[in-house]
Amino acid sequence: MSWVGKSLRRKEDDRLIRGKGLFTDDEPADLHLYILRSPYAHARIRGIDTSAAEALPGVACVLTGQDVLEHCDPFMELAPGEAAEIKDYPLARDKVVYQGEPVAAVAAETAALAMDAGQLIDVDYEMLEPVLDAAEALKDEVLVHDNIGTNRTWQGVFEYGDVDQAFAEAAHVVRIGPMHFHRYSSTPLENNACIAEWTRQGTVEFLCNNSFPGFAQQLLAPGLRLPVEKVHIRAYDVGGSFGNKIWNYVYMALAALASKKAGGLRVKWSETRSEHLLASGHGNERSYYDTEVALDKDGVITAIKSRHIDDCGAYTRYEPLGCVIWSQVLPATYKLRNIRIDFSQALTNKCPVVPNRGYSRMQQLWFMERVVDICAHELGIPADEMRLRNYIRDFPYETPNGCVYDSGDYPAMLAKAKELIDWDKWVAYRDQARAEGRYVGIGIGTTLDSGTNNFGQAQIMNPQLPFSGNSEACIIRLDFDGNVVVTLGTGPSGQGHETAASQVVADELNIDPAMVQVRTGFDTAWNTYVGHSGTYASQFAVTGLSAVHGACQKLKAEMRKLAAFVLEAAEEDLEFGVGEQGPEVRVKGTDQFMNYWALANLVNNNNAVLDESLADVTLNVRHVYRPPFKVPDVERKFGNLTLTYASQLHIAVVEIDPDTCHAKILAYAAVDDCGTVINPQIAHGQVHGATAHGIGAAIMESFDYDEGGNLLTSTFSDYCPITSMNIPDVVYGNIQNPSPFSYSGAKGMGEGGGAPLHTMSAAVQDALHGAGIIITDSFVSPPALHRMLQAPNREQAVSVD
Amino acid sequence: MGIRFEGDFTVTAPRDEVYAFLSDPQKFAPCLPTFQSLEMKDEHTAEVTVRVGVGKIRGNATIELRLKDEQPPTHAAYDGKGKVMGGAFNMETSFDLEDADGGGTVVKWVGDLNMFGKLVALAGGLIRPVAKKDIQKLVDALQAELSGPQASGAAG
Amino acid sequence: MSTTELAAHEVPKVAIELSVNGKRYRREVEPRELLVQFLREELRLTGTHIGCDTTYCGACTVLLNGEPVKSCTVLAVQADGGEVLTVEGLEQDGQLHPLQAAFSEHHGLQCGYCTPGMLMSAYALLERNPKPSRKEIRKGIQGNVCRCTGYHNIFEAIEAAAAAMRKE
Repeated sequence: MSWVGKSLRRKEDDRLIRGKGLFTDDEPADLHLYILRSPYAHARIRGIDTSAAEALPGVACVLTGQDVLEHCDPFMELAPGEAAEIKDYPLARDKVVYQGEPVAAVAAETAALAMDAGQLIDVDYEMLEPVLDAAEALKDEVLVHDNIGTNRTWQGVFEYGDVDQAFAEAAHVVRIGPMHFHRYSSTPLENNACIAEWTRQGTVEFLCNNSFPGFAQQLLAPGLRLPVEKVHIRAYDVGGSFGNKIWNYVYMALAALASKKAGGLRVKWSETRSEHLLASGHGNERSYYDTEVALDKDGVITAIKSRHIDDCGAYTRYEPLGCVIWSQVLPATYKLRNIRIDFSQALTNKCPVVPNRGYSRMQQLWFMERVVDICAHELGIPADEMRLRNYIRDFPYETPNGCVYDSGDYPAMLAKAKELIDWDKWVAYRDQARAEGRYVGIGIGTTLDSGTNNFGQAQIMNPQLPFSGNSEACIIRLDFDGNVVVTLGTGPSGQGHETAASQVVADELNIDPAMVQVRTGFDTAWNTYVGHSGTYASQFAVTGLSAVHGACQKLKAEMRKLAAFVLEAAEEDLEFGVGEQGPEVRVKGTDQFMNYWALANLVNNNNAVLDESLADVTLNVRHVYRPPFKVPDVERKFGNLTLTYASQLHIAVVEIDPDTCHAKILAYAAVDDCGTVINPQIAHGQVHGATAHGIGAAIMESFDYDEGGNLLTSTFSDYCPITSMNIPDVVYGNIQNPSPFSYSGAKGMGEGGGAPLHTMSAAVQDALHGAGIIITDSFVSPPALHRMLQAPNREQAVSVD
Repeated sequence: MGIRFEGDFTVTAPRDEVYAFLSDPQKFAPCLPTFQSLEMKDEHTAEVTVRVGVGKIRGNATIELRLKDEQPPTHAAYDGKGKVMGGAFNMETSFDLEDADGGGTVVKWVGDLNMFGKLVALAGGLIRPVAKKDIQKLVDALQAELSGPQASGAAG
Repeated sequence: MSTTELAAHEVPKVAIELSVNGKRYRREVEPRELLVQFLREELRLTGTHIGCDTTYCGACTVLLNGEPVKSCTVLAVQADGGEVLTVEGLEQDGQLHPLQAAFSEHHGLQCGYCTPGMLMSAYALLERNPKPSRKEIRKGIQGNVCRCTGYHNIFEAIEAAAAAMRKE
């Protein structure tokens, strides 16, 4: 009987469907925090008058930049060089550098009162010219942070193979004009929130929805001038994150300072949606210049050279890690060996970026898919055929930069997706429609979801950083009553960790998953976590569950040793199972057994009977899983950056209405391969969810700034996250190529690799190529398509030699 | 987000009188359609409170209006900055006066409005039509003030 | 215009009386207090969530006098004398409503944050249309945003619940 591989109904659901979850904002607090934000993208603060706000009855305290200077140190910067000197505090001090930057904060008895008081704060600003485009920012004419003297946060060349030789030998060279991956984010439905209490013991107690608490704690402690041990973080139910909640530590610090100033009262901050969109992290925006592609006579890509600029907004925070993370998927799913990419990142007067589902890799995957489709169209090779000529086929495959793709079968995914969508029928439909002058297109998007990353890649970005490898922890305890209690470090946000962990434990201990209690959420007080603990970068299926699996092995070893002693049997004669009195360890083929309660009681209450040889048996074991990583070669930018590579292939059929310019999706198929599937229903759900994010991002969702640095899409009504009316029927399929590098064959798969963005760009280009249009922007909304139809760009966007 | 408004209108009063009126915030500010109150900060600077909003959502906005350029009796310019909940705006407005054919004065005016903050996202698309209506009201009020009861026909 | 206009926090509270999930409550509220704040903060019924501030996302959907409303866009005083049903009122004597059971069975939730509002909109839909088509289901929950599931399994769950309820 195996529980892994079954669609076990989720344990999390019972509380959530009854409205009995515990999200951060559900917990009451003494005071509520309102944050006054800058209306300007770039302005000097000449003065702040808080007297009227402070005089309002019910206001406990008001914080300004002066308070953070007195009580905080700037947050740690990951960047090397000048950017390391960026001073990032919870509140602006003398200058605001993006619209929505916190300038002051009020803690008051109610949220409404805090907001009232916030309106009474008078800030005297002197407006400055903003810089909003990354390439423009690199000219350093307008500086975002004056003290560092540049807007460049990082620059490096990733070069592998012999690029010049490959271009010299090429049958075709395709030159592609500037391309752009737009700003959006996956906007979890629960906004950021935290409750902070600066206790009399000098600790800070947080209830929050941070999704990378292992990292947040290490950032918060020095920022608040506390030892790490005094920063306690707890999370219970988290309403989605998609990476976005990694950097709400900035606001956690602010709430903590308010609690300190208010004498230790519990201070709650609940972000509004408009604040979230304005100032809580956008996905990375990237531009691609000077792209040249070398191909042989058969359309096999032999080399690419290009120059990429990432726009990280006004603060670096998790950046410039994104300058390296993309190289996990450097060649995407293609076998070319000669690549030169000059990569830079710039600060601009826009909202700082935050890892967003598919972080940094999907921008590279989109770029590579664009290259493949543009070359295919220009050389007259069908998109499916182009891919078959270029796909990597032998696994494990070492990429030019030393990453090892563990397993996969891209041609099989393509075949499966074609079958699901009924490819031939749609090709005939498209050709017929074209003959009638209609804009119908079919697009393919192949993508990778790299999971369990090697933090050593941070050293490629900054060799001084003390990070490498990866890990996750799990504690399994046989409780007094014989229950198996599992504690994770992962801090999930909807991915079903309680359920999946129960499935693994149930298999290992040969019991029913209902007999496994997995604690909900995250708590530093459990002592389970490591520095990498969190839910991000498709960590769980391999890193998280390997920790669970390893802890099971340790617990079983102890249980065997103990049972063998009591039952006077050899350990190898014992087996785990469920008997009349519940879970037990028994001597095979006999009626001799010890149930779990009896084992736990022996260790915890009745231990005078135990032998000295059992002194190390506690039935409370912690296991830390560490993937087999090495520190990359930072000079060559070479090494294995990720353990597993799940893959997805999507196909979309679209028709563009010439009047509304809406790209209507006529059919959509998605095939995924995440190796061995732990819980098919959960994996399937992740694919549908990631697909919705990508389709929403492709046609509806964009953070648009005007020339003054005002965010024009700062409410849900303007940003328009995808709804039930816009999502097409997605036909889903799965193939399974187990990973040779994880104990179970599973691969991390939560992010989905932005597949619909690649796919929609491809389908829209297929529809409009005849009209002289090359898709060079990932946002193919009706206004964008309208502009393109007014001014076809093929002449400028591409040339072939 | 920046929006430019401009236009002209004719009044029967002579240029000197029109200039004196338009370059004195205490005189012309009450003609603003949603005028609430005015306080002079110094000789050239007035703090004007107006009622702003769309539909039933209304609030007061305070505009600091400063006369920055005086060339009597032909040209004057103001700059202003204001604050509303979650946003801010700057404006620059100027007028040029010419004698009208057949008496009276032609007022040619230009206004540049720049908005910042949540205001842009919430009201950006609505500002132009709303402002257009309010500007027409202002022009009507100024014409009434500077043309006298007998002159409304003559101005046209 | 009166010069003695009160600041929002100085406006006197108003007494309201209403029924929530069959239980009667009498409370004094600020005139500006939203129904969702009243439910969450006064009554501690935190199953009803807040996901946006422009009436877009529907996480706060409850039934007011049998009609689905977004409780972030209803003042508590507007619910005076009314009957409110929230997600906490769906189960009867510990027995899940068929919609709740179907959402779990069909994996119609991941993080669970949109789920209460989604359930209430689906409940209202099935009240007026016990056998909705897929298209009608899409329309029935168009005012409810889910960021995790991609909606597919929510459609399946509502279809399954409708079928189960017709059998009852």
